[in-house]
Amino acid sequence: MNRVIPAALRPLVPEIVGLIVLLLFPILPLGWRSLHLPEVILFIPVQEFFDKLASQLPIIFILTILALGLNVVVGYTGLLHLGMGAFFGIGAYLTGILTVPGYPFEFGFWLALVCSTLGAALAGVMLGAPTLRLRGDYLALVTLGFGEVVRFSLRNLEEITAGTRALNPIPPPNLRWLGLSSGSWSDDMRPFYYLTLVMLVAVVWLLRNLERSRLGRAWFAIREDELAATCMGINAPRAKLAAFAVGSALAGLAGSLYATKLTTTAGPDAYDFNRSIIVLACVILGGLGSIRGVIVGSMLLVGFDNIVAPMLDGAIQKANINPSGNRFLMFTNWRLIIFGLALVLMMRFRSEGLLPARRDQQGGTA
Amino acid sequence: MALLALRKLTMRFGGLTAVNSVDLEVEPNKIDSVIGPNGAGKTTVFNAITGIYSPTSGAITFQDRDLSRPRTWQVFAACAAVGLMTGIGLLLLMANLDTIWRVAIKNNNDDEVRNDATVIANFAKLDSNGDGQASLKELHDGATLNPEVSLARGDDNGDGQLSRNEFVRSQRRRFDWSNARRDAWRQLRGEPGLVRRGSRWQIVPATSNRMLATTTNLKQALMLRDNYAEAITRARGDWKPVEREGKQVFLSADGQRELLSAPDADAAATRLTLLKEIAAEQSVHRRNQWLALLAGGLVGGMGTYSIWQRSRRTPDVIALAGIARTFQNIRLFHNMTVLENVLVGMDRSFSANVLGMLFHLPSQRRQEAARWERALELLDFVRLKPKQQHLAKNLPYGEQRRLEIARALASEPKLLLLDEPAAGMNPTESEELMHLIRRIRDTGVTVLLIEHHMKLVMDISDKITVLDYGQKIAEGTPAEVRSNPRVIEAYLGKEEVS
Repeated sequence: MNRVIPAALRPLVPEIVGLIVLLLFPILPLGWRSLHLPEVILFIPVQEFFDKLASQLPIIFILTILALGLNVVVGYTGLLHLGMGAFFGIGAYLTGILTVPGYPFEFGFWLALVCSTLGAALAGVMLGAPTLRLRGDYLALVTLGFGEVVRFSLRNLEEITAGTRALNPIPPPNLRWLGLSSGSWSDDMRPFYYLTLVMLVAVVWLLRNLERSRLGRAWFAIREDELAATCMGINAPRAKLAAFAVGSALAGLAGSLYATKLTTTAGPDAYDFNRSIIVLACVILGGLGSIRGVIVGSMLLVGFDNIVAPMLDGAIQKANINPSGNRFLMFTNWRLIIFGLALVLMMRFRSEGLLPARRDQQGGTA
Repeated sequence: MALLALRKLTMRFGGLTAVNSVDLEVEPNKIDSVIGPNGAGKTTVFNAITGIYSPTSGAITFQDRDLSRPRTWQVFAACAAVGLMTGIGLLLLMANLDTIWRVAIKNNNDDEVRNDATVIANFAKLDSNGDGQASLKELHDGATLNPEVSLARGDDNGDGQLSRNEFVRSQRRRFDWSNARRDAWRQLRGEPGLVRRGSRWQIVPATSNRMLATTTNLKQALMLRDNYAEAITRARGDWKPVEREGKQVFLSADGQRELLSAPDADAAATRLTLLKEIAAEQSVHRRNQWLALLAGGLVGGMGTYSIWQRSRRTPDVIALAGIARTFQNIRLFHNMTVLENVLVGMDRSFSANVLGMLFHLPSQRRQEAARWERALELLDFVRLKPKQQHLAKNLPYGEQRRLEIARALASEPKLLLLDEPAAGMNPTESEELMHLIRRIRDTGVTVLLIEHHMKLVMDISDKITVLDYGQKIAEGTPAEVRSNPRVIEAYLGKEEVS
């Protein structure tokens, strides 16, 4: 085993295995359908689960990018940020404004993607520049407030954002040279699946590079001890601003992909405090500052939220347990309690997260 | 020439005076010490030197320079730029961004607007021979921007010419940004604008929701809007309607055009009152716009300047000037490896190329490798090389001290401040530390240290300064200080005659 894999790649084995599984997954549905698996194995509706998984994985990838962006701010730099949903929304709405036919811009997807990423980064810098000198709880409050400001602005700037009606239809990406027509994006889940997967892999690669660079070390140093870091000549406000910019840019990228996937910006309420908190929960569950942990954390939490919870709801309905439509017996209404419970248990038994960052090898995060 | 000079340094925290008018000079390539009983203000002096606190009064100069960011023209330019941006932001908020968007983008994005009579008029100008087709030559002669591009874009049937319909269609595809810009300016200046309600166009003043007129014909609406804009301007002055053909008529400034008309004198008077009210509103609006620009500019510019002023003497500026320090209570980056701790100390010597960092470019890799070599040399210097991959928090106490020194040396300082480096060390370790400090001095780094360990201080110091209750009570060579009665008094108390 040790001779087969080169030493440089050995710490990356879980990532590579995961990537191969994810690359092959969309080809699998054909495979398992042809196997004629039974519908239900051990009370688990396998077919339904895989179908749901296939349709939800692009969304999971997008939210993982968002969580990785938050991880730069919270995990690397140690600044509590409670308004990531706002930057996600800014990315989505910028894409909407720049691509939707009712507006004079009508950019293509790729240009809109770049503009949304840069626009969200700019918003992050504009929020960060005056507020990053605040410490701890105060910064958390400012970001929380900013999140609400953005949500209400999106709702009230009726002429620009169409208020609660959301901007649609957002056209699919232009990849004609790959033989993809605009119809193939809605008929088949695979183009979007691979697009988001490639984006996720690119983001992970860039973040791994950043971690081992001067900027990454400066972020970790600020998280460990800001005073000592500044006494070593690190310009702490500037490094924090860079963290804010990178985090917001990734959130903008995720928002742009999200809006394109849904073909609508989905209304301002999709970017509320709940979104920010669930993403924060993904980061904490997986392990602050660990890319691998954040990926696993968001796969678990978002997967639970988007796949398992609706399936359990369906099962409850099918079993006719809840004929009167009692809201307490609907599983979806319990999911936030389950998140909270998971976080409490996490903090009690494994406060560093599922896959904490290990820094005692090779000078970088493993 | 002194490397570091403190002149009458005073530090007050509230009513408490921690350091009182201390003078201190450090000569290059020496080992100097600051000693004194606990609470004498030694660490406060270090904190003042490294910029963690700014001095209440007095001056600190390093190589005859005051260690603060220079006040260059770029600073003022940046403050002015931020001020301008804040001002414009506030102005846009005052003018209601949403309305500007509606007037400039939404209205102009309407197909009917784009299919304006002016487009057809433009085509008539292009089509110089009047055959209803604009050829490439005609496009060239008509000084069209990029004739080839507009032909390629508009020529739907591919006959190499633009017919009138093709021209209108191609114009409709393009959004008229200059029109949008003019409308946005109109709204900003508070002049009346158009609002589309169903199939009708309303002429509405920018400052209130009162409707001035309404029509279904866009061309007429545009004309009415311009008439009302002029009428509002004229209503400011002494403007009387003229009777013409049994109607009361308001004329333009040159007396040529009819701007508005009213059936009788009463209606004309009401009209004039309304116009005067709107004119008053408009001037308030304009005044508020200027105020917003001014207030935003002042708040933004002055705020930026005062923040800059406050961060002129920060630890990072001082560290970059060549002063590094260690801390009394060890402040390593505990969850980073030993090697990384040293690399953080070298931060300033890495390139700031963000693309290089993002894509891990070869130049970046070469630089990292070179810096690693240097970091390993430094670790070798403090004899921590075998532990380079350990986490800093897992090192024993003495090694953490040495690592902190290596980290401080990594920033290539000219002056190294050591805050109680021997605290908690056993005699062998402090002996070793003494050699290390000498070796540091031999590499050309001046050392200033705070220490309670008298044997160490007396053995290695070239000069000793004694502080007590924030005041300098003695200064000189170890032998002089040792025999100074005030020092003995400070450490052991006054000899009472009983």
